[in-house]
Amino acid sequence: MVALTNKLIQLIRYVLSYPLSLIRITLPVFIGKKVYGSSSYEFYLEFNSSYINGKTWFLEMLPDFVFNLDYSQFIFFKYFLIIVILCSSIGLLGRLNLLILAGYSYLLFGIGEGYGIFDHHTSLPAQVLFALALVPGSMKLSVDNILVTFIRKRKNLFSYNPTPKWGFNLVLALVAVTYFTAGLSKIRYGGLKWMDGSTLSFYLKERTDNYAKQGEAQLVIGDATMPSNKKWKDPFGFVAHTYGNYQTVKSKNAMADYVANNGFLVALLSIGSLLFELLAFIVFINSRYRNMFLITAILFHLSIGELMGISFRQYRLICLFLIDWKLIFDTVIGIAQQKKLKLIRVRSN
Amino acid sequence: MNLLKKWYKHLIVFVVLAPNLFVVAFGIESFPFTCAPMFGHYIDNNTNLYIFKFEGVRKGIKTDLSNYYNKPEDCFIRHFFSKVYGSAEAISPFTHKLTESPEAFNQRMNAFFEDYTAFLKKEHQMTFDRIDISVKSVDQNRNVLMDYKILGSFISSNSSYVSVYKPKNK
Repeated sequence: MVALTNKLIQLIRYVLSYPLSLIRITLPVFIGKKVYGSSSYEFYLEFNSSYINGKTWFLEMLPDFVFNLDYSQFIFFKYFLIIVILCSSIGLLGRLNLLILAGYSYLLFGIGEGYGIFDHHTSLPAQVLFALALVPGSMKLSVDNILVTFIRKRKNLFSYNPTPKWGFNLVLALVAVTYFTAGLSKIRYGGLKWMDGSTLSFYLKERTDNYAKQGEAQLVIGDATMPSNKKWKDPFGFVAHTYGNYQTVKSKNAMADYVANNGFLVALLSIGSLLFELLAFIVFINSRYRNMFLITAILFHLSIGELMGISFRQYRLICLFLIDWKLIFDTVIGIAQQKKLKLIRVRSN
Repeated sequence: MNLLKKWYKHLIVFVVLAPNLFVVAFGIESFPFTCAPMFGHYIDNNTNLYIFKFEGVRKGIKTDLSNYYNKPEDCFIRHFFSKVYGSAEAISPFTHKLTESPEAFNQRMNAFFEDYTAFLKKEHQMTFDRIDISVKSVDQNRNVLMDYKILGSFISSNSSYVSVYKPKNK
């Protein structure tokens, strides 16, 4: 029994030692599902003829034939995508398949951006897929690794081989930059007054879907303070479009309204979320700070999901696996062992 | 071998992070790189909010085109505002262009309307003498504060967009 427990502890510790592999197993399924869902021929077909103004940097680099596939070719690539998702997840020709899956994401969500909706849910995860294809540590728990172990006749598949830390740090840096820039944008476009809570209050009370039928869902913001010599297109000085609040559950709307109408609470949440985003780089101080930030990030997205119907599921998944679970696991095991020792001493006395 | 590994590491770190740092520094976005402008622009009760509308005009008769966008209205307007019309600021967080000029603006507007009029003709057998873009000012609950005013029109006969607004300093 003790031997079995020790083996189990060893196995868990081994698995937790490779967080990038855990992300590689799960993220392709989560993001692949979204990519597959976006792969309709009508969605794809319309792009080339009508959206010449909407090409992203990535789309501009692609040859023309990518946008001129006929229906049968498109369907072939759609089914090929399923194989790519599976192989990325199990790690069979893992790096190659991750690169292809990242390419699919850049292509389809890039088309989505051209249509008008930049999918911020997928921008970080798509980049993480790309990074995983290129960094050490992402293929430790994979079919590729098993095959290499057998081909090279290594004895122990589960022997711990430390991987260079830079791969993990690079993915962590992507996460930190993404949160940091979100905070920076609030200061850049909203100024320090963003912290007074009125912007958050607007978005919590916004019911975008209610205005869709009358064709008034989308608002555009005009800057009344812009000097007239800067306005040459129109007298209104349009600077931004608003974002939507897609939560339609009434009880959750009521909760959002309560927060939005409480001036102190909404200002506190605004200051808190801004500070949280600007302090993203504390993840590099040590594991405790990292865990604290990532757990806060998960809670942050859960609350946004509840109040505004924006889930950021893939972000939560990435944050979950970047938590230092090995530290938490070792701490828990340490406490359990100490309690066990105490119990033995009490019994022997 | 070690030197190769070291260079590989530096190369990958650069390839992955450099585009992100670039968009953060300039405040732009191009999928998947973003300065994350979501919810960043300040909004309170005094913020000017507008709703865009497209209308086709043929022999003096106006047709509201909001049922002919071929996609949800928010998608259509966001595409139009972000990628075609553009912000009053030269650098906008909703696109990746780093410059803006009247020439580039006219080119984008004309290209957009040429495609859109072709779509209306092909899919809905609709042709117009011109297409007007109007805006109305509303509050946060879409109550009208200022009724629709025309921003400009795309004239079909010469395939060009003409703005109603004439800047004083021009």
